[in-house]
Amino acid sequence: MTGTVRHPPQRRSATAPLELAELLRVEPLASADAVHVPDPGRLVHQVVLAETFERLGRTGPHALVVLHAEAATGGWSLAAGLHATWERNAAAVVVPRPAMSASSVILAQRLGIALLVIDADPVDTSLALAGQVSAPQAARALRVALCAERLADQTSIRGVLGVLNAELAPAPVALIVGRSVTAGRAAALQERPEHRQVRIEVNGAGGRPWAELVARVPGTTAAAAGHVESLLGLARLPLLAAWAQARLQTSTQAVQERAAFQLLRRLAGDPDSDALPRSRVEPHDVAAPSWASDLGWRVEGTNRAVWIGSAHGAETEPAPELTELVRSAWQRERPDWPIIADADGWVSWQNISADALGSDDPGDDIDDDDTGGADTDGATAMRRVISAVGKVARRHGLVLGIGGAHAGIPGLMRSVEQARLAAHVARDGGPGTVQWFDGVGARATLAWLPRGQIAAVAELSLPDLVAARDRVSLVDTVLTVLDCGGSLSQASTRLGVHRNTVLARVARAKELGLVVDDPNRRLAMHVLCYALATLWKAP
Amino acid sequence: MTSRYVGAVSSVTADDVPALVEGAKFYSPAVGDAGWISMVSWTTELLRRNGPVVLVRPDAVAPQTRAVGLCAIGSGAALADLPPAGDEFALAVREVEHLTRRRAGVVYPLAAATVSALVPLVAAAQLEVPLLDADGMGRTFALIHHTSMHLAGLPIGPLVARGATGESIALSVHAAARADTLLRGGVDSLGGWAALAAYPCTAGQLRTAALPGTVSRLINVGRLLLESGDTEVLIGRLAAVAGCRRIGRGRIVELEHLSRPSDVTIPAHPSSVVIDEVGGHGRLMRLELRSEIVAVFADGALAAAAPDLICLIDVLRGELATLDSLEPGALVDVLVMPADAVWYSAEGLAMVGPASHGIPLDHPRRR
Amino acid sequence: MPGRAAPTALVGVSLGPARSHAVVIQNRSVIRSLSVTGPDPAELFARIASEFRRPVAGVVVDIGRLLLERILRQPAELSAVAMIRVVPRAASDPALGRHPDDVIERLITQRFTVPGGHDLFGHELRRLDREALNAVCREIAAHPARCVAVVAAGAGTQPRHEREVADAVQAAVPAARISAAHEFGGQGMAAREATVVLNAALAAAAQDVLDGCERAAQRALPGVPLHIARGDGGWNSSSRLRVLPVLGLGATDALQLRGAAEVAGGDCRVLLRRTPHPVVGDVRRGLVAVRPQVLRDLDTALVVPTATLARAGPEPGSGPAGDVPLVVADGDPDELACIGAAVSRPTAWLDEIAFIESTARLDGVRRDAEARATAIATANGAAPGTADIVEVSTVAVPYSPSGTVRIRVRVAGAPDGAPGSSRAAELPAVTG
Repeated sequence: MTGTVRHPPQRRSATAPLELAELLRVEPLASADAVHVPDPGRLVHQVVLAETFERLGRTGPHALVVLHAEAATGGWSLAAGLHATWERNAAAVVVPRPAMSASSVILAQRLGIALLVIDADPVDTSLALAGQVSAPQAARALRVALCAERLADQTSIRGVLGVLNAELAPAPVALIVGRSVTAGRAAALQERPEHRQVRIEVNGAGGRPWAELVARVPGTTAAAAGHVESLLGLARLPLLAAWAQARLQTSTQAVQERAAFQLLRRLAGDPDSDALPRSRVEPHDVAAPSWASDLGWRVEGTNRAVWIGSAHGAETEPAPELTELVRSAWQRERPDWPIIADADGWVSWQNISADALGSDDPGDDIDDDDTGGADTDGATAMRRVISAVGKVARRHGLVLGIGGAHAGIPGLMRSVEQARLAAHVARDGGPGTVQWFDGVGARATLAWLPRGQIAAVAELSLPDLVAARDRVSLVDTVLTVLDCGGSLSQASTRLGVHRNTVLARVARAKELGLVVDDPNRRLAMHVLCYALATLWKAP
Repeated sequence: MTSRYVGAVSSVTADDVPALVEGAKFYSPAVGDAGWISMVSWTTELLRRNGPVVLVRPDAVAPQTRAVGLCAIGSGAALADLPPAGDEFALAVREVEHLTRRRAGVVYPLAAATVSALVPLVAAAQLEVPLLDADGMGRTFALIHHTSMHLAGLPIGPLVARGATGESIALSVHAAARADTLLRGGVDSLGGWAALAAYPCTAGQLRTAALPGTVSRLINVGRLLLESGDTEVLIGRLAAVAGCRRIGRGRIVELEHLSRPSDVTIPAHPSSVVIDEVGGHGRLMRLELRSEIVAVFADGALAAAAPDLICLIDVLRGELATLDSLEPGALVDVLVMPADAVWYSAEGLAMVGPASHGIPLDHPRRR
Repeated sequence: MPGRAAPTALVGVSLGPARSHAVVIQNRSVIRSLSVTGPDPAELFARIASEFRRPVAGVVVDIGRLLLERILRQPAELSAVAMIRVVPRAASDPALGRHPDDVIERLITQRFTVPGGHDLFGHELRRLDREALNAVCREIAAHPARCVAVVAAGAGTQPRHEREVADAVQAAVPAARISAAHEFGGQGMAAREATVVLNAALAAAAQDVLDGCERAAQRALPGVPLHIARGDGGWNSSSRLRVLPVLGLGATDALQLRGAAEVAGGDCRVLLRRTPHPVVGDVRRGLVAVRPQVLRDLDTALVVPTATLARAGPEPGSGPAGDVPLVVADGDPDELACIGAAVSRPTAWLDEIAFIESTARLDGVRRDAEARATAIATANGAAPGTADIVEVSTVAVPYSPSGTVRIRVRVAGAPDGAPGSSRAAELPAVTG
């Protein structure tokens, strides 16, 4: 794949010819009936009011031909007019409605010539059009003004991108935050021959780059690229306003996002939900709801979830302040990744498809520590994020779990569960620990043991052991012996103590009730030791 | 059946009438059959009763011989519904003779096509004079001054129109173009058609002013048409005899009426037929109709236009499709045939070219 | 069909002078096919009733061949016709005073011209000469001819003179059967005259044939509706055909085309093996392609529509218009006609001249014509509400004042036994 060549923003001459599509957006042609428009990007060099076929015969290329009088008598005249203008490579034919007929539509399609039907007077129309074509900057200014009005009406990022895409069609426009398409049409990022990209940075508060608007403009309309740039520029403020408005009430937003995430989970047919049967939904069965992109969430394609939880295993919801802290820390690193409070932690995810798209950029230096270059599963990007937030996690007593990469919304929910499991395991490592689900395996089961309750049971059934001063080393030793399948020598090596010490501790533990050589009680003892060990080890 | 080519001097017998009729239809393909029935049987019976009519070229008679042109003016549908009583044509000639105070030695067709090709034959049989093998149009045009005689500077009048009602109108005009204007309302009042006798002149004048051989041509083309039921063979033969060629074959997809503004000078309102070409380039062909097919556009390009003779062949029936029998869905061949060379001169085109039908485009044969 | 014990059975009959045939059709297949010698429908109907003991939705009888036989071979048995033309003045040449075709002219025993008539737009060309009319009435009353045909110039648009003449004759000769040409519409004096003369001449013959059919049907298939096939491949009620028997001419050709298409399974071009040349005709959207034209068997032009039959080329299959399948009608032609009759629909036809000033007016004129054609179809026996406009054509009339159009409308109703055809539901079962 070749990299995108970033074109320096060109200052195009304001007098570059107008495109047909531009004329169609302002009156008088805005209210014309565009019966057939094969190429909206056709340049219009001049306007010809053809009253006679003789005049039609003298028309130069790229003309917008308005038929009138003799040339618009109906019947054959439009057929002949279409043919004559086709021969002369005109940009479009404008015809008064009385001269229109059904067969002319078919002919326009056959000849591939644009055909517009007007109800207004053809002379007035052509005068207005001639004014626009001879002063393209004025026509563009009018169009820009109209567009600015529409942009100002938008209250959401999606709305702003909608206006831009409608206005610049067929050129696609996308809003990129970080490396992912947050809104608009991802096609804007795809390379196409004879097309060029127009990019405009959108700076957030404090002048820091927040996002980028990208439009892919057909090369043939290079002259209009500058115009595209000014329209994109116009969209900056409405975008920022929409963004700011969206972030104004963080707590409101947090609640909103949380609810939205629950909704998404329900959509995926997650077992938490009772709205759908528990059968597993196929990964691609669920279409991304439109509100997801309103929230800036990217869920299509492959996602990898991150679970952030308390290292101390809090069973309750985290405090709102903590949520705020986590959010701000997270958004500093990856503003394009969502961060949502969910049960006893926070969830975020990496949209690998979007990231992969963004990392086409050669200026983006990839840590090829283990992927050998291409970061196809997004693991590298994830590592970079994790290492950046690791400090914050340690400071706030948090651990991180990372799920597998799975497709679609159901896949995302699966990844969330995996990440949460991994985070539970990570608690064993203390604050700042990061655990990948891929590296957890069956041990994940243990993370879910109700250690507090097991300890309570131990207090009743093994009161002597619990009361013993050397209980931690005793439990540790017995656990290690059991872990090593009863081998004292292996256990001594792992614990770094003499074999006799191990033997002595096992004997003392047995006195206090920890019997390890009774096969009937070995599993219970093993579980008990594991629970007590992890519980007592924690600070 | 073997073709007997009609030479320069000959006669027309009752047996020639079917061929003459077929040829007359071919050179004015728009008009339906209905009007023919009475005229054909009458002409046949007259020729049986009075004997063959001598058909003679203008240069084969004495130049001072007086000649009168004849045609049926008005609508074929009206003629069909109100057939002649029988004396209209002969009396029209007699009235012109009275106005010019000269006895006609020959009669000739003003337009050798449609029933107007039979009319002078009828009059010749009744008046017992020869028929000139020449005419003023070589087909039919909409207006009575669209003639080679007018192009040659011969006066149109004095002229007489006689109706089946037994009434007649005599006109003398300063300009030929006025004749049609003055006559049109009168013809409507006579029942929609009338026998017209006009362009009284001499045979010598007609040697240069008329189009020669156009009556015998009808009989020769008519024989071809009668012999063949197969469209392909027919078109091949017509190409050889009449310079006819096929523009395309297609299905009628649309009929549009009053498809463009009409002026009052030319009868029959403008309408259009849209044909979707079958095979070939799959073009969209648009036929502009007046009383005849006046233009063919193929994908918007003018492919043929008046004075070309344009006709449709009904492929299923292997015969001419008249304009009043067109139906959407019918499969037709679009044929075009050049008119007499005189009509492609600047003067000729100005009079009967596409512009005269409101199509101000260069004629395809002049480009 | 829900609620029915068995699918609707339809009977098609084609009566011929030498041999008559009948088929019973059920579920689009022929389940009985039988023929008898001679034209008598009684035996045929009785055999249908005894061999097929189930309910029948309708019977359509083709009497075209019987009518033709009378005209061509027994003209003496037809009614003598007194012909009255209403034109501005009588023909000065005898060739123009008679009908161009002998087959028509020999049916006429008396000819009269009454001065009068209109142009195509309904403008009076000459006032009706009542004195002359009275003289004509006296003449007719003094002669044995009781069948009178009236044709007036322009009556397609303005039938006033035709009606006045008909009324005067009726008043003078109360027993006269009068046919007026405006009942058929259409273009051209010769074709209108031929149609109205044939209609008048066939009056008594048709009555004979139809009486026979009705008696036979009443005895064998009581309560089953009886329809008579038309030249356009449709049917009319038997009572309608009594008044307009000319409509029954040419039915056999149309029904054979329709029957062959039914056997072939749908729309196609049908080749009929005829002498001296095979001919082809089209069946489109389940209806035979028709137009008013020369009726082949009589070689005279009529204003009522009949099947368009073109002489087939040497290799009709390889010919043009290859987009329509060509079907060679190889079966028994009588049986094909019966199949065509059994599946035929009630039809109506309208052919008029109208004058329009604008395209908007054209739509109005067209709607009016469609409404009238639909009314005619209902009068012809179509169940009310089932008639569809199947073809409409409006074309400019050449060399006529701008705005003159010829408008033709073809209407077809639901066939017997179809949902929406109210009669089918009331049919009593054939018992015994």
